[in-house]
Amino acid sequence: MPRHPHTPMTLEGERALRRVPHEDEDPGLEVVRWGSILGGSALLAYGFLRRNRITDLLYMGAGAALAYRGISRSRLVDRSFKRLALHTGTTDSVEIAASLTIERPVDEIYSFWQDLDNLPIVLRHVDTVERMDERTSRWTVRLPTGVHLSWRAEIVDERQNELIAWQSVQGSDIYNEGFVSFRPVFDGEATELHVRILYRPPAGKVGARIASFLQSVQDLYVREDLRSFKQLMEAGEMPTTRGQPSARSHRQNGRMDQLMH
Amino acid sequence: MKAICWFGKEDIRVEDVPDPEILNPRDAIVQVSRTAICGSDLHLYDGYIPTMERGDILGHEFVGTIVEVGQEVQNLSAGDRVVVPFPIACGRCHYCGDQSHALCDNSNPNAWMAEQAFGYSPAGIFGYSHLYGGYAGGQAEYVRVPFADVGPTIIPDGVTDEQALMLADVFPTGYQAADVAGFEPGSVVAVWGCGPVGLFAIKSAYLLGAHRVIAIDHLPERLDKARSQAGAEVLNFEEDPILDALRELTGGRGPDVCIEAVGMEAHGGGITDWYDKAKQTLRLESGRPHALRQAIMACGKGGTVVIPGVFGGLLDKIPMGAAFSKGLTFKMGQTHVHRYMDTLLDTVKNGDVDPAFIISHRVPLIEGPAAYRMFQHKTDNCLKVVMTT
Repeated sequence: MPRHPHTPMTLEGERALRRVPHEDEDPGLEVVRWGSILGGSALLAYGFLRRNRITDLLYMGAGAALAYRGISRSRLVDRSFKRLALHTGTTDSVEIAASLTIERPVDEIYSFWQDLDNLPIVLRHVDTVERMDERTSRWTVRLPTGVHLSWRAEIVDERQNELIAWQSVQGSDIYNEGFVSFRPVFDGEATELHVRILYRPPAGKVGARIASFLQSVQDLYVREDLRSFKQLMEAGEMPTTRGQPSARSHRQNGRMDQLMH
Repeated sequence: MKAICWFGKEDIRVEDVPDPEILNPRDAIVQVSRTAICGSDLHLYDGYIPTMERGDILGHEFVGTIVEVGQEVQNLSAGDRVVVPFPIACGRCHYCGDQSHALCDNSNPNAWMAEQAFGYSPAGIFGYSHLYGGYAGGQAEYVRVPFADVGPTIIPDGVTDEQALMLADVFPTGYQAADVAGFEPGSVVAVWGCGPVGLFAIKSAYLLGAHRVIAIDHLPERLDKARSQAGAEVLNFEEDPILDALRELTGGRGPDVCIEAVGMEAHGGGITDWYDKAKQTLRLESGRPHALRQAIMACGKGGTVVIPGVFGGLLDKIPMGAAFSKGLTFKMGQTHVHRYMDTLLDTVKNGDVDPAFIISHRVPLIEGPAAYRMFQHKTDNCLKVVMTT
């Protein structure tokens, strides 16, 4: 397949990234699953009304599954259910996993992430990462309530163009570990980026601040954050419809367009 | 400015809305001179595409003049006459690099929503629901065009606005259907649907080396057009038993390529039509895939079924056993308009095809709502409506 040439754009990419506004509000997620809720409920009702053949039981099963998918709005809620089910009062943790491929060489992507100061530009739940010394940094995250939570983290592994891994130091309010790994693909023209971040409350009673933070971090948002990063690295801008005309009130964005941004 | 806006099923209105503005460095603003209603706009009009919102501006086929460009757009300037491909593409991602612009990674601001529906997100499209990006469309006096350094193409002298307008969607869509089929000498092609896309698929099939093309529809004027202007043999599905007729016409082999240029609102007749209509109305099924089922059943062994017709969600009773047993290949998807633009502009400029032959009605933009109604009911032999601003 034909490939296309790239002009170097690390600097433009970074400049563009710095233009990304941080969102102040925690976006709600009343997602558009009404199609499957309606369809699923209808199937369920249809199967229930007839209820006399194996196919009707299948309808009911399929309907329930569809409606559940609709109501559960993706893995997000599945995860919350899992959290509820596993909840012990002390070990309620959040694990975030997101991956995507960026059509830029690995050293360009790596050098961006290597500079931890850049992390808050990409990850909207992270407010600041201050470098204390070569291996230690201070992380601050913003809670939906506006309160901040911070801890110190240490780089535990760093391999040029491959991996950056960190872990919070002992005694932090919250346990945090994570890594970003980089893998060149398509003869080095593109890079697979894999991000894993784990947040775990300390042993003992979980305070309201930490509980509120853990509830606000979701991997759907982190995936959107990575997507924005990819868009800026590849296209130099994030696609938007904010401010375009419609017959709604002046410059009002679509309801659905506001869900994630 | 005036714009045609969607307010609900069979409820579209001409509204006064604010003029668009440059929002990103790679944007441009186009003053629209001509804009067309696409058959796929009728799926929006009929309320079968989810994630539309009241007040959305419709339209993905338009040509016009550049009036303003963003700071990153170097290749266009005010006054350029351009045709704009209906998919929005960044030009720099993996898929754009492979000329698959309708699969662009970076042009759908609501990619997360499309991922919920499809697993992965296709490109954004002008005026075609929030699932496809929620972009304001071009059935308006002005339109904002994102990634304008990649999409809009300058219309060469000797090609009219109306001719170029057919290159925003319907001509390349028909052309892609024929192109991806991969004809061999002697290939026989059957085309379901003689609307604009079907007619261009017939023309393109001959351009690309098909031996014979058989066209299927039920509207006499469309069949007539397929025969007289595109050179197809024609079958009327209300009169001819299609499967038997195709078998007969191909010496018992069946067509090598079956092109389904109908999509989610097919008319077929008979009991399955009622079944599909009922399920589609209850939103238990997203389409009425009558033509698709027939195309699969009709296709000869080892053949290819190409689907330029638009489908959105879930379909029932697709004869996968037939497809599997006959070793069929399926090709489908939105059109990579950017891929074909230069080739087709040349085709028009050389006089090989005059794509304006499908235009049946020319009306001012303010008569858009009535034109939608006419197109929906196919009254007055309506085949393609072009609106002037």
